[in-house]
Amino acid sequence: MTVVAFDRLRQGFLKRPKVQGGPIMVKNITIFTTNTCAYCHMVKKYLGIKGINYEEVNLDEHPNRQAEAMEISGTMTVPVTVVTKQDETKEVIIGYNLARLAPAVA
Amino acid sequence: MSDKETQVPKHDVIIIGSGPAGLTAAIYTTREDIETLMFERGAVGGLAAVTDKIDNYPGFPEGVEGLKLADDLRKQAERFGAVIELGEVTAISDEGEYKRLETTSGDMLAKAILVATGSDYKKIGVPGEQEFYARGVHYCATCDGAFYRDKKLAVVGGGNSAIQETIFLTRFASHIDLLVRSTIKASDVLQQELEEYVKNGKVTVHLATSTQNIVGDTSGVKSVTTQKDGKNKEFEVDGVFVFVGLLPNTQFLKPTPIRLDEIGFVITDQNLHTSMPGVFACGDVRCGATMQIASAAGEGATAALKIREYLEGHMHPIQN
Repeated sequence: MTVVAFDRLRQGFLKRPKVQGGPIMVKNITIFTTNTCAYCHMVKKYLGIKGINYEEVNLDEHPNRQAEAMEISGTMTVPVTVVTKQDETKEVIIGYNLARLAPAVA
Repeated sequence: MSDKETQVPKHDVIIIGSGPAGLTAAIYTTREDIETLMFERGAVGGLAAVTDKIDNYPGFPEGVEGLKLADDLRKQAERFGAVIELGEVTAISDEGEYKRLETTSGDMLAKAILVATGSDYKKIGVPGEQEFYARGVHYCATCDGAFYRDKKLAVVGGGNSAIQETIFLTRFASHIDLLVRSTIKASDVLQQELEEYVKNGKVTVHLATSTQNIVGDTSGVKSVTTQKDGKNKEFEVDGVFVFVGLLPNTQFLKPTPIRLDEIGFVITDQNLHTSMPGVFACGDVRCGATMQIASAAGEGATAALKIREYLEGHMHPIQN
């Protein structure tokens, strides 16, 4: 499915930061969403299944935070998931991308 | 057989894809008490889930939001025992009674497989499309439309999806140029609805207009260059949404003996059986599919009943 858009979102196109040593615990997670975005629901569903807490920023309810989402992701799309680790490093995951999301929140 | 091999999970049926076709099949297989596992790598509900509103699915006189239909189908399948695994099937192979699936959750075995992976939107293949992907070029209005409040957009396409999503995007955009390569192929009802937005100046339709180039800079898309009757014309827009048809999600089947057509759609017989025994296909991924949600659901039901016949060892021969 190399010709379609969603595939790139799933696979992600931001490089994952290299981690030295063991995994660093997650401090908090923020997801930028909209009401109509099915992939936003999937990210929330996945975190819900795993029992992981997150903060949701719904851009339909808070359009004033769109610029923040765009600055963080460099894109005009949702979902954008920001995983902040205990050492304050951040991993930004664009789209519903289990290959990136699962290890980032593990 | 090694210890490791004996630990490979075995299932009666694995359905790959959880769009309307796959979920309907799961409703039927689980109600027949056939143990069923589903795999979904994207959104449960498939393209239906990312469609704003669906007006042609029976039983919903006022239409239904795609996300709601997808969620209700999921609940119905899960109510009867279907299990949806969030992950991807990367390869399948025939081992006789069982088929082996390589997945992101490890290897699995299934007596029957249903390929219901659907299709995704095609790209138009013009300069700038890749460069500005998700930064001004989009394929999902319900995901990304909210970024274009009071901004100018172009929508490329003239089929049902293009018109439906253009209408959805009018709730955000100040104006939309609809760029149609030939003529509008959408249903009459959608065309009538679109006409209201044309009359009030929200949408301008440009027929026989091919998109040539998407132009922008580091801040995003600035314009679209088109061609009509040999003449170039530039539209100043902040973003472009593309809905120009569908391509099947069958990359993972290409190394297998399963027959695909020249585009990549799965070829089946009248029982929805592929060229690999025990592997069936239904919905938008199937050669000959009508790309309608109602058809996909119908094929899902048919596939489930044919799988039951296959598992019981008395599949009816094809009547020519």
